[in-house]
Amino acid sequence: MTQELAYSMTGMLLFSIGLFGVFFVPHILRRLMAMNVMAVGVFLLLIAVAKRNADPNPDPVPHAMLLTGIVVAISATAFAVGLARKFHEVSGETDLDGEGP
Amino acid sequence: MYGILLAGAMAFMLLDAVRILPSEPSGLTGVVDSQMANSGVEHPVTAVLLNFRGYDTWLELGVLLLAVMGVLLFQPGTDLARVQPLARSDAVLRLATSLLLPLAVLVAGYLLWIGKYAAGGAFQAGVVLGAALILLWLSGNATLVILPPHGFRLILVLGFCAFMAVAVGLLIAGQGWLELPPSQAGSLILFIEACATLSIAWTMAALIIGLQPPVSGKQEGGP
Repeated sequence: MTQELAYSMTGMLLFSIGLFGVFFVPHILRRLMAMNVMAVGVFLLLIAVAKRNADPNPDPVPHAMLLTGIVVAISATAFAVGLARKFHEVSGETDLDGEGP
Repeated sequence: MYGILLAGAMAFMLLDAVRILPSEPSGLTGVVDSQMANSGVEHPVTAVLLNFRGYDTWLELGVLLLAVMGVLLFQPGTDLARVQPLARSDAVLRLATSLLLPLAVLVAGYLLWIGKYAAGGAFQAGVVLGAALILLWLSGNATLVILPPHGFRLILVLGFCAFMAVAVGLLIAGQGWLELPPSQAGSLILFIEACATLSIAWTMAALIIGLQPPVSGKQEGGP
């Protein structure tokens, strides 16, 4: 098992853990954190994929995509936190279980 | 319970998909390397980010702008044109801020400049500068407030608009859309990156400041 494969597989495991959290954890903040765990899994995969060739310099295109992804993840998280606060303000709930107050 | 099963099945499929990826990919390293002389910079990631795939980066600045606008929409009491400094701040934080702030600005400038040759660039520099701004705001320093009323908003859109201005300018000059001419690519990239650094820094700060509950109003009128 090569080093890149180990990183890719760790990334995909993190992605699956995050995916589970996004769909099956009701608390909004936990769900947001699960979303970020998913994102980190994808980032890890991109870093590993960039390094698969024998070239000492990694492929710059996945690295540039990664930089883009980090910034989008940060801003999406901030936006989601804003939504969550408003949701809590309006409904008094912290869970998205669909049952209402 | 079935959630764990589903996630496990997903994990299994993903792991298998990653396992059978070809170990010697074609990749784009060769294509990027062959075009580096035309990019105006010496670091391949910066070349991809600002030149070869400039469209991505431009729209990414747009995503940042949308996120800030969304966050501000949720807090009607927050007006970035009149940012309220936090009142409370202790002496240790103020001293630490006054020591760290010049250093952070220096590091941000260095990261912006080094992006041409090594890992660095607008996003890294912007995040360092943004952290400095948040520190400034947390310490209760009033410096952020002396910005002209609409200065905050202007800086937020600066990066996106500078990128668009360069793109439209090149279009008028007869180039393709976002096709930087090799002779001026270096200076154009530095210009875009400098504007983007300011925008990113202020965006990061605005995302934090915009998420705070309004300083005045019902907050203080409560019991």
